Amino acid sequence: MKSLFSLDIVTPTHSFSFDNVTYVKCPGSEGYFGIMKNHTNSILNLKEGVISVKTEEKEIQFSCSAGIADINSDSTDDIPDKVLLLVENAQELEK
Amino acid sequence: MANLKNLQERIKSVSSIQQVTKAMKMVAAAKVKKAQEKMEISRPYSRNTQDLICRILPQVSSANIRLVGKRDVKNKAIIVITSDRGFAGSFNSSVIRLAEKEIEKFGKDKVQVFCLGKKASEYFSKRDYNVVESFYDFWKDMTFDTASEISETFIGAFNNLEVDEVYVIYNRFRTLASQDLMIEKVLPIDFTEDYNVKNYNYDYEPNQERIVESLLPKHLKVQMWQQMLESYSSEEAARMIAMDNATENAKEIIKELKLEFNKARQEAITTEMLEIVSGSEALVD
Repeated sequence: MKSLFSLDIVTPTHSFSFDNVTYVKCPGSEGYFGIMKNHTNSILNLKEGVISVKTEEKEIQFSCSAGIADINSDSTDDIPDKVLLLVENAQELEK
Repeated sequence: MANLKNLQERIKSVSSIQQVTKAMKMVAAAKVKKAQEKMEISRPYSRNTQDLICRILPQVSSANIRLVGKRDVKNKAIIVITSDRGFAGSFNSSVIRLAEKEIEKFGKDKVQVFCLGKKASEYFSKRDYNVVESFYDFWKDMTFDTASEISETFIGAFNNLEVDEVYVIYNRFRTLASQDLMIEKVLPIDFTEDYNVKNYNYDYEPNQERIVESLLPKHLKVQMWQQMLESYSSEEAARMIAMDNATENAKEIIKELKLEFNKARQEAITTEMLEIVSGSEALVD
């Protein structure tokens, strides 16, 4: 069983969607934190910084403005975990 | 002959007007489509923001959050969204008329007017209204930051207790041929009706109150952004219809002028032939 979850980074002007994410690092208002599958349900404030998204194939980084993270996970494996990052601005960083 | 030349020139000028209006119509149609796409893209963000607010707001005491707190209304702010340019039928005049009525109803000196678009700005500054802020020249390349900046001005006025209620008056896009004139209350935010009372077991960081406090301005900004896009789509749709009518009218005029031109030409030929015939008859005699 792979521990994958889906991630949406949503801004008013564009969105990024991933469904095979293994790990996300976000700039929380109290410091960076990581999200993996089966994270506790939480809603957290984000501050400006860099979001790192690790999927099965690659790692992508985004610069983002302040926002909110909404983490929804279910203890059963039937419903996939969903992580939603609402930020006003997000841009993919070139490597 | 002077008449013939005159007519020819008029046909030429009307034709070139027709070409211009036709081009303007096509440009407007493309702009409507673009604005519609932007609106579509902004929807998930606004839906999710609203959803989060509805989930968290019931868990905090709203007395501590200024943006949702109702208070006695002594002063109002009215945001009027118009365009920078005309040529769009009654698009601007209908917004301005409604705004003026609303302002007069509450008292001219107790209403702060925020103008978006040159048309509103020109109208209300000339007539001695209390115009606090005017924004224009941004429609062509408006971004979410523009909406953000505008929202911050009225959120500031509300937080500083300068105004106790904020309304927006704008055209909402319905179809290409019709717009709805809207007046919406934006502040204080009223969420009570769609409260989601289900009890969620969540961790909050830093805490619910702080999260709601950071969510509410985001909600207002995206709402402003959508209202601006609605107005922009309506403006371009109205312009499209106006230009379509102008093109049709030009077509009618050209038809009439051509008929007149042909008549005049025929008349000239007939006269000329009569002259030739009578001249040759005189020679035979």
